[in-house]
Amino acid sequence: MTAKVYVSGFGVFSAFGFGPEALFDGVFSGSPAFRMVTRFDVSHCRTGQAATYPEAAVSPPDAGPGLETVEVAIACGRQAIEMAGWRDPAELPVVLATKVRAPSVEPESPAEITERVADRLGLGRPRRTFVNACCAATNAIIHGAQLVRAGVTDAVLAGGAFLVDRQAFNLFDSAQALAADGQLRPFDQDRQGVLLGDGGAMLLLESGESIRARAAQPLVRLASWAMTNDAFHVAQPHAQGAGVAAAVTAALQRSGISPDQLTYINAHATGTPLNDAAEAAGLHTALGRHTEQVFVSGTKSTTGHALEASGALEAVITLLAMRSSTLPPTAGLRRPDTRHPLRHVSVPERVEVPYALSLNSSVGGVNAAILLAAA
Amino acid sequence: MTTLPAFELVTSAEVHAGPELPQLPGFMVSDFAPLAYAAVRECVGDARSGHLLKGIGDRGGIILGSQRFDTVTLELSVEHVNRGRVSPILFYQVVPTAVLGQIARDYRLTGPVSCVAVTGDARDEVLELARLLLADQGAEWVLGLTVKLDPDPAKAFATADLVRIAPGPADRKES
Repeated sequence: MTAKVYVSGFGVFSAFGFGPEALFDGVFSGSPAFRMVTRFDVSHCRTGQAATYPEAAVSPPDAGPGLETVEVAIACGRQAIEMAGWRDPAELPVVLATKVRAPSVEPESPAEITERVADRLGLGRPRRTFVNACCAATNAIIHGAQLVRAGVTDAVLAGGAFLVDRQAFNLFDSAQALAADGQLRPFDQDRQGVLLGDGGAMLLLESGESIRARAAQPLVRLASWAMTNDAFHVAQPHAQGAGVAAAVTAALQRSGISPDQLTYINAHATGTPLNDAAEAAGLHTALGRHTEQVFVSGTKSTTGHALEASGALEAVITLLAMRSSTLPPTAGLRRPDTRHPLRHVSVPERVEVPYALSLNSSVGGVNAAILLAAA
Repeated sequence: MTTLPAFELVTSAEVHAGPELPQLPGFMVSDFAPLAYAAVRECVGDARSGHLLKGIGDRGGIILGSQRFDTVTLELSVEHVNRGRVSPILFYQVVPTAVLGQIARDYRLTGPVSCVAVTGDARDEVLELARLLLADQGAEWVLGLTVKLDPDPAKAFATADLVRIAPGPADRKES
């Protein structure tokens, strides 16, 4: 006996601010949130641009001076609990994706960050912390969903939080991964690389039985999920996107959904030459002739790459697309890469979305896919 | 609430840092990745010869647990950033999934790969995650790894456990 898993609430943060309205206004209008970084020195870097929140404009409830990752996770968690109408946080386990940093710059360990978030929100156990880079938040959501589906818990809070910091920015700069032109243009022939962005999201995942018992309303169903590895290279994706294809195929098969039923894919789409090409090739392998029917967008073009938190942020964007029947565009896409053509969303489109995928990939060949279905 | 099904611990290994720890090309600044890789080799056999993971492919997952992961490389990256000159190789070496990508490549494992940070016993937590992954049918075999670095390099160690779904009565009769 396995439980169906639904999303019954969420909280979200990005450079556009806290809450779904700010995110929708920015992402779904295709407005990039990139600006000059002021929280540390970037004068020696290829670019000074990142999607950082304007510090004066954002003040989450009970945040102290200067926004921290913990405050983002707490604010998003509180939003999710309130939206779901969940009464007792102590009944909720938590699964958080966060960064790994040197003790000299971050005395608190990653799991201690989760403990602090959980203590502040009065959450229960288990309290788990995923740190597998750009797939960490997707993994956190998948793990939370596994807890619900296996009947370990009725509901769980899962997601991630990330704020652009000096360490991440300089490491990406050193690898020449940042876009020197200050634009993140996924799938464009002229793409120059990635740009980082603040982001966070927490989703309240809940069994169908629990939702019925509470007379609550589900937002979407988390129909299936899959994680794979390229088994190819420590730092580069498989050129033909083998792991992406396997993750998409497995997620579809486990849900019983065929490629022609899929409407929308929120791609990982970092704007780097290798990643986007591999991802597009992988989508062709997985979807075959249906690739040309499925809408694809890369919303990091507006939010930037929230690294460990990106999977949660993009799951919420995908959820908003389904709930609003509006597809968010890939900003700055002028000359689409023609090697593996996709059906790009270049302007906001009104489309009914019964099924949608959110994809992420990370260093080490890790790939993760979650399939959302209309509730 | 449900109790997750049992799993079978197929084999385990523990390796310690020291002069005999083999180097791992591409990971030269810290013992973290060489320890993880050596624990896998000790547990399941060398990737270039007969090993226990042969043919497992997408049915095999990896979970790595640690408290602070590769603090040596992380601290080195801080030094580089403070000096204003960062080595590009640190870009991937600070990421915990990088060595798992190498293990997955060498042993041809194409299933799920996770990294979990812990406050307590990393091995217990990794095995608990493995139990859930097996129950969810995300994998049939899981390689559970832990790495603990220490200010005294001789005290650094890694563990590897290969687990699988506990065989049912029919499976036990056959074996």
